[in-house]
Amino acid sequence: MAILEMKRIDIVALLKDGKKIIELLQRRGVLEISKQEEKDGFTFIDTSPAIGQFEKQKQVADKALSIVMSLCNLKPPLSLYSRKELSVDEFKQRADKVDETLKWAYEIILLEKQVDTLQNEYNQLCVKKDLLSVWKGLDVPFLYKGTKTTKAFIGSLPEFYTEESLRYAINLGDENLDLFDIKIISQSKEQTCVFILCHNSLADTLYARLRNLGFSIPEHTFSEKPEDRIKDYEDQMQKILDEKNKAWEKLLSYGEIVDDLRFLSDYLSMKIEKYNALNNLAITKNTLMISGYITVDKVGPLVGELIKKFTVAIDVNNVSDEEDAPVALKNNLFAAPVEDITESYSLPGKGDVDPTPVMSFFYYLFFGMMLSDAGYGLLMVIACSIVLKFFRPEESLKRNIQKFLFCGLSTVFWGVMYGSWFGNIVNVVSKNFFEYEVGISPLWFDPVSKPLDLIIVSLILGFIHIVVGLGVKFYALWKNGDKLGALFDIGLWYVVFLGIILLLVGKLVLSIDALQSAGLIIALLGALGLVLTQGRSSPTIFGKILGGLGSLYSITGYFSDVLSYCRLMALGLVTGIIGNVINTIGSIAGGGVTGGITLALVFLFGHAINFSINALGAYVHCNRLQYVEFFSKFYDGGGRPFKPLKINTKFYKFKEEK
Amino acid sequence: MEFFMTMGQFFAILGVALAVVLPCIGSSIGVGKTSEAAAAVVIDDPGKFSKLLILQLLPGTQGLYGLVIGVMIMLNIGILGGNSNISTIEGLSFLLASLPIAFGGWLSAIYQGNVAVSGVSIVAKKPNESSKAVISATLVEFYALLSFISSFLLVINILK
Repeated sequence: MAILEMKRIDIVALLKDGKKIIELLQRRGVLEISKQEEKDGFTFIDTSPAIGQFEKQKQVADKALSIVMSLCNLKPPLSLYSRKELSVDEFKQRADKVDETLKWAYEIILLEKQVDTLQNEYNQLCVKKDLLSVWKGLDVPFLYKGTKTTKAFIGSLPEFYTEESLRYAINLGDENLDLFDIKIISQSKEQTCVFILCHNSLADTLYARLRNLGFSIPEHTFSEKPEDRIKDYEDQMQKILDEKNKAWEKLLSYGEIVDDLRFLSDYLSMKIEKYNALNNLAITKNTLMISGYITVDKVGPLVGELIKKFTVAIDVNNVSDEEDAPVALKNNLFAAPVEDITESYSLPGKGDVDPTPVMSFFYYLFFGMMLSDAGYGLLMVIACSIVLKFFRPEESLKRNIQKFLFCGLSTVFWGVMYGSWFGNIVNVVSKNFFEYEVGISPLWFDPVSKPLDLIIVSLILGFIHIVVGLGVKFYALWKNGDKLGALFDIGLWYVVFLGIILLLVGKLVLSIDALQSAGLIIALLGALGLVLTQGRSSPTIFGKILGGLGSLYSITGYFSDVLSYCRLMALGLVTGIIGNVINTIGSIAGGGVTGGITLALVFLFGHAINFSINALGAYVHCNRLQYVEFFSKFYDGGGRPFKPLKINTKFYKFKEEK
Repeated sequence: MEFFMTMGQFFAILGVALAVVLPCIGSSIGVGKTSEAAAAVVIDDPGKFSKLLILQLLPGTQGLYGLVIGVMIMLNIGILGGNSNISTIEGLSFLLASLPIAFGGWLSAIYQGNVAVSGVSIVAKKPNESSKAVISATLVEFYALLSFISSFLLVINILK
């Protein structure tokens, strides 16, 4: 239990078997390969160029996959689900197809780019067409200058004009009215497009007047009529649209190979992993050497299989103290789910005990105490059970869900103790709809009416937690041979604690004077022992005394640590009271149908929020109690996680042939 | 003076207001700052959203503690039942009892927000270490809890 023993394994094999051995190791996923030391006669394979290429290909595959997924509106497989299983034959079949799939992936990316460019061109033409559409009514080309005796002005004015108002604005006098003709091509608030034909004699004056009105000549220089040009644009747009649709359809047709793309992505990540491992091997002309760490329970099967299938020489050794061996944990069903909590603090280093088993009990206990609503707990239990049963999640996700299953059970327990079922929903419903208030009475006590009791319970639990933490330290010191240290550093504190407990019990609970004085004497003896022993590492007498006295100061640390557990009470209270507030708000509309609907809505919405905020609070504060108050008593951490060469895929996993 | 002697309910409600408003202000500042910082990370890596969400919500709990104290005062002075009849001294006591969570919640939420903002960059650069950022933020929250507990104990004992 707890920390798995590591063995160091050295394998010498024939070079020609190399690829197969690595593949086998990857499948088994039990060996962490470490880098070979440089020695004469050994060479190393540099696989980084190949890895670089695979990584590029994987990017292509992933990008193509995401294009196809978003295009075909495919949902990514729910991460709750386990990966699809492939047998070895299926794997081989698919692996033969990867080159083709890669080609497709490149094509998908190309097609997507093409669709993009086409869309851009289309948009540009659209803008051009829109700009030109105001000139649609002009039935001469822009370059039209007029006839022999007339001059034509084609352009726009930056205001709204009708023919009359423009004539008036130009103001050439009544006598010239017949010498020019205005045709409004289009008009809007911002601009009026006009075609004006006038007699040559008037041309200069007219132009000058027009300029004053802000007349501007469009920059179009083509020789066809605007209408023809617009038609031309439309034709082009249609063509682009057709082309785009064709590319689009082709892209859509790739929706069918989504599975192949997923396989490709997985295949490449396996390859990258494998080639990374190859970097660490040492080879000679005909042999190769693999070294690594393996957990002790896996040594037998792996060695047996390797010897059966290949010509190999294998050497298994104990890990020496100087080596930086990785750490793997193994715990039972109850404790394993909180391994991640330990891991995210730090894995046990040298001389550490795995804190997971001891922690797991307190973890669930405290989580439940802080969420403390039987209704919420039931929801957690049901949801987690459903996920575990029907989605079959893998590895760390599975452990997480198991963790919340246990936390949920503990929450139900504390909810029953406190009599809280979605706050006081039973009371509220029975009072409003059946006019007879009933409630589920707490099995132990109601925290809102007896908060002091709850504080005391919290502090006692906290004290037990800390004492257990010190106990683990005692165990670790004892096991590592520092028996005196265990007795002095931990045992004497236990004496002090015992004395304080007797003192408190004698004074506050039993009121026995003898017990009080006995407690006081025991505590003082313990403290004296601490003063005498805690400075023992100091070389001078003065240092010894000072160190001993100083160690007493850590009583304040223990005191504040214990106080810290009053969060158990506070967070538990908050859940209950907010739950009640939600129910009260929901019952504002009273009984009847409206009241029922209001209550249902407020209930769903309010409790969803209350649950999520308080579950989050319970989670983080539970972690904090473990990390800050508990781990600080005995745990150093600093271990390196065990990372065996294995198949790190996203979509598929492999059935093992037996 | 006579008028002053009838102001019990006024002071109690002032206490409710302080207990609710100040921590809520603090919480919105804290959550707001953290969320702004988190948004910058989510732009580059939407996958980190769930990890960041924990940090974003942490400074939000002070508002809840304030609300709980507010509700406890309301329950104790009987204003939820419609008629509240408490003396000025009792009203003032409720006002004073609300102060720990009012100020403790308000300021701790802001400082917790600062810690959470720094935590966001931990999540951005080393997502595996995010639990350390969360734990650091809970160190601050403890003081809001202490304020909450003292306010709570005061409020429920004033009319005893």
